[in-house]
Amino acid sequence: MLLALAAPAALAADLQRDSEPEFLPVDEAFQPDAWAEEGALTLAWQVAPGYYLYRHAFRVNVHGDAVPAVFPPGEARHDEFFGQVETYSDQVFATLPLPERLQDQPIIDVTVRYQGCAEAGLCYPPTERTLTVTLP
Amino acid sequence: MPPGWLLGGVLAVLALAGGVLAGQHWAQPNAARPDTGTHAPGFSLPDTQAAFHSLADHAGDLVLVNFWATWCPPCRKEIPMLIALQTAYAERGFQVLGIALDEAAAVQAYAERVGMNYPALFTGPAEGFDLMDAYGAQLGGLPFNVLVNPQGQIVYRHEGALTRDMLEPLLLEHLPAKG
Repeated sequence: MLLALAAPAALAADLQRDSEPEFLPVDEAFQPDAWAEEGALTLAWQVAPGYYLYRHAFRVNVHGDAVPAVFPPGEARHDEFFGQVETYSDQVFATLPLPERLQDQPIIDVTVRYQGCAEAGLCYPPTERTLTVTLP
Repeated sequence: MPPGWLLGGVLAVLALAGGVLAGQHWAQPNAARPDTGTHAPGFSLPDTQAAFHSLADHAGDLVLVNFWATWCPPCRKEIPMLIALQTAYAERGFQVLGIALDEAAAVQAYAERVGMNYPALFTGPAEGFDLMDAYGAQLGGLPFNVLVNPQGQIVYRHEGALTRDMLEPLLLEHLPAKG
């Protein structure tokens, strides 16, 4: 009987040691936004303190077409795997011209792909989100 | 962006086929997070030499399932520590199984470079993240480590980098009894 009780007690101790996440969900770590103004699209990411995004990992699709977005220089960082890379913390903005064929659309879908990590030791996989942008 | 997702996906399908043939099965993603103390989901995945490894192969061992990727700096940072612990405790029944959500070529090159002394398994991202879900990952980030006791129960899991100070006491507590 004592043995039967001891096993669940040990299990309960293990349960208490189940490590709770110390990190933010990806959508809280990196919050993308997009809007249109004066024939251009602006993309923005708010980066939570202690987190960073890789400059080389951004991809942007507008209505399914890959489009080149201009990202500003980032902070230099050496990575054993990627080599010399640039990263963004705090926030980052990018702009791209609004494709002419879409300028008469009331709304457009912008799909952004990005990847980043927490300084404290967690990396998120590439994340893709589709943002709906209302054109002025 | 990590290259080779497509290749990884294809190979994961092969892994799935291999798992079925081997009598194993892929864990399905769970809506609810499994508690520690529950039985660890089975898997069968290939290493970089296309040899399949399953959790069931290590029944009776204390197994650390280490989800990682070559593109993940904190994952790489903890690998020398895992290599050292594998060396230190292998004879007492400790086994690391590294599952890389990555492409085979990158995993192989990295494993050789660092002298990985435990199986370097790999899978495509979708299947890998499903398996992480089944093991109770909440964030989908890497690294993700799960300790499975000799009875096949999950006794610890951690999202984010581990240190030797965090892991070694758990190994000493859960290693198979001598004898």
